[in-house]
Amino acid sequence: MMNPIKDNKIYIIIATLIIGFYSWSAFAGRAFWEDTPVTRNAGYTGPIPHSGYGVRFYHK
Amino acid sequence: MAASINLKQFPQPQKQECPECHKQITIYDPLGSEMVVCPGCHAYLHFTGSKYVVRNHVRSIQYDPVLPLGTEGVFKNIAYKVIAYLEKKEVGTGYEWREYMLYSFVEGYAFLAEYNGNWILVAGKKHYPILDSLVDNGDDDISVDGQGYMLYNKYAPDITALIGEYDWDVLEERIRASEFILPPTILVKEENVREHRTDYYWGRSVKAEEISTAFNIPLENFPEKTEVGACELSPYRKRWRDMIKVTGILIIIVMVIQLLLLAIKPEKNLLDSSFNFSPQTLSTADSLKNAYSGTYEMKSFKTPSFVVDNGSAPLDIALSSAVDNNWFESTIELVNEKDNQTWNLTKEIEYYHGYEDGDSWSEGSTNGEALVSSIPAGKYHLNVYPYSGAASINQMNIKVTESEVLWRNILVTVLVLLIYPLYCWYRAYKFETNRWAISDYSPYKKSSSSEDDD
Repeated sequence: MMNPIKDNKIYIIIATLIIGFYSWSAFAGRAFWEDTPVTRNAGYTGPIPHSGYGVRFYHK
Repeated sequence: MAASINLKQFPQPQKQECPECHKQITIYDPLGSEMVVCPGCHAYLHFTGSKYVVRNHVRSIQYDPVLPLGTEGVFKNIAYKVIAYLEKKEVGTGYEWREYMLYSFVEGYAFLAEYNGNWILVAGKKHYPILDSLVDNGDDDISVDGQGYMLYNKYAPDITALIGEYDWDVLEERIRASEFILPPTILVKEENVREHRTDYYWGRSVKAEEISTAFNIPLENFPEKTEVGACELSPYRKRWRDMIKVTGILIIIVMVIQLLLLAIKPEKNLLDSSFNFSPQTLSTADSLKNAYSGTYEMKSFKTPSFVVDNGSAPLDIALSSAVDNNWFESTIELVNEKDNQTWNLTKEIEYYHGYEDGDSWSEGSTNGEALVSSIPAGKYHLNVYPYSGAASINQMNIKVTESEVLWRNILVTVLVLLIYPLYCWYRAYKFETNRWAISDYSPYKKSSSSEDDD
C-alpha cells in the first residue's frame, strides 16, 4: 500500500513552507498586497490630479 | 480435446512430422492440443486421434513474436509456456493486435495480448475465480465483485495469422467481443456466434518489464509503447486522489491558523466618526485655478487618537461621503504619535448615475476602503487632506478597524496550494481522454446528437 504522505513529500514540504509564510504574515498583520499604494514617511504634497472613470460619460 | 491441466510439470514435448512438407513440428501439449500450425508450410493441421490431417492453410505471421514458442517463465506465480501466437485485427477497422497463448500445466490457458506496446494478461474462471461474482444484466451493464465496468469497445476479431498449437479449432469460431474496463482490470465478453455460447475473461494490464523478467526476454525486444492502454492504470489518478486528501488537510490547517489568529488578535473598531470640512481659503489666483481644473481643495483636519493594541496588525480604513454625480478624494496620513512614523495613501470615491434612453445607469460608489498592513502597536491619529470635484462636498465618515481578516492572504494561500493538485487533476483527465480516444463509448466525447445540435 502506497503512502500518500511519502509519495507526495516534495509537495508537502513546499506546502508547509507556504503555510509557514502564510502563518508568519497572519501573525505579523502583513497583507500580501495593498490595493491602494501606501508610502512611508512621505509628506502631503497637494491633491493628486483626478482622472475619474474614463467611461462615465460614455456608459451606453 | 482440452489442454492438459492439474499436472506436476509441463508435458514432455513431442515431435510430429507435417503430412504436407514433412518438417518436424514440436508439440508442447501432445495430449491436449488438437490443432497445430506447421511452421514450414503454414498448414493448419487437425489431430484426428491417430494422425494429423491438413485442414487449411494460413498466412505466415507478419511480426516476429516477442515471446518465441516454447519460452517458459513464471508469471504471477504461475509457470507458463508459450505455445501459440496469433495476429488479429478488428473487422472493419485497421486496429491490429497480437496475442500469445500461455499454457499452464495447472490452470490451463491464459492470453497475453499486446496492442501498441500495451500488454494485458487475460484468462478465464480457472485463473480468476473472481469471475464467479460476475453479474451481467444485459445492455452492457456488467459488474464483477460488485464493481461496475465501463464498456470500452465492441468488435469482431479476425485472425490474420497464427502459429503454435490449440485445443480447439481457433479458425472455426466466430466471435463478437465486448471489452469492459475498470483500470487496471478488463473484462472481455466473447459471444460465440456459431455455438451460441458466451464466455467471460478477466484480466489486468501488465508492464512489459514484468513480462521481460518473467520470461527472461530482453526488454529491447518489446515493442515501444505508443499510446495509453485500454486498462492501463493511470499514475496520475492515484496522485490526484492523494492530493485531494493531502490538500484538504492543508486547507483545514490554514483555516485553523486563521481561527487561532481571530482568538489572539480579534477584530477591533478603533475609529468610526463623521467629519465636516470646508474649502480652503485660497488666493484669488489659486481659487480660479481650482475652479478651472474642477478640483476643490478642502481644509485638512486631524482625527482623534486611537490605540493599536495587537500590533503589528493590518488596519482597514473605510471612507464614505455623500457624493452625487461627483468625486471625492482624500490623502490620509496615519501618524504614530510616539515616533512620528507615517503611512500615506490616497483614496478616491466617486459615484455617477443617470437615466438615458429609458434605462437607469450608475457607476462607482459613495464608499471606499484602503488597507495598511504591518502597523506596529502604538498610539495613532490620521491627518486627512480632502479634495473633491465640488465645493459643496463638506462631510465624510472615517472608520478604522484593527486586525480585519485578511481574506486576500487566505485566498492566495489556498490558490497556491491548489496549483499542484489542479495540475495532477489535469494530467489525470488528459490520461483518461487519451485512454478513451479510440473508443466509441468514451464518456469524454460529445454525443452525436449534441454535435448535431451544434
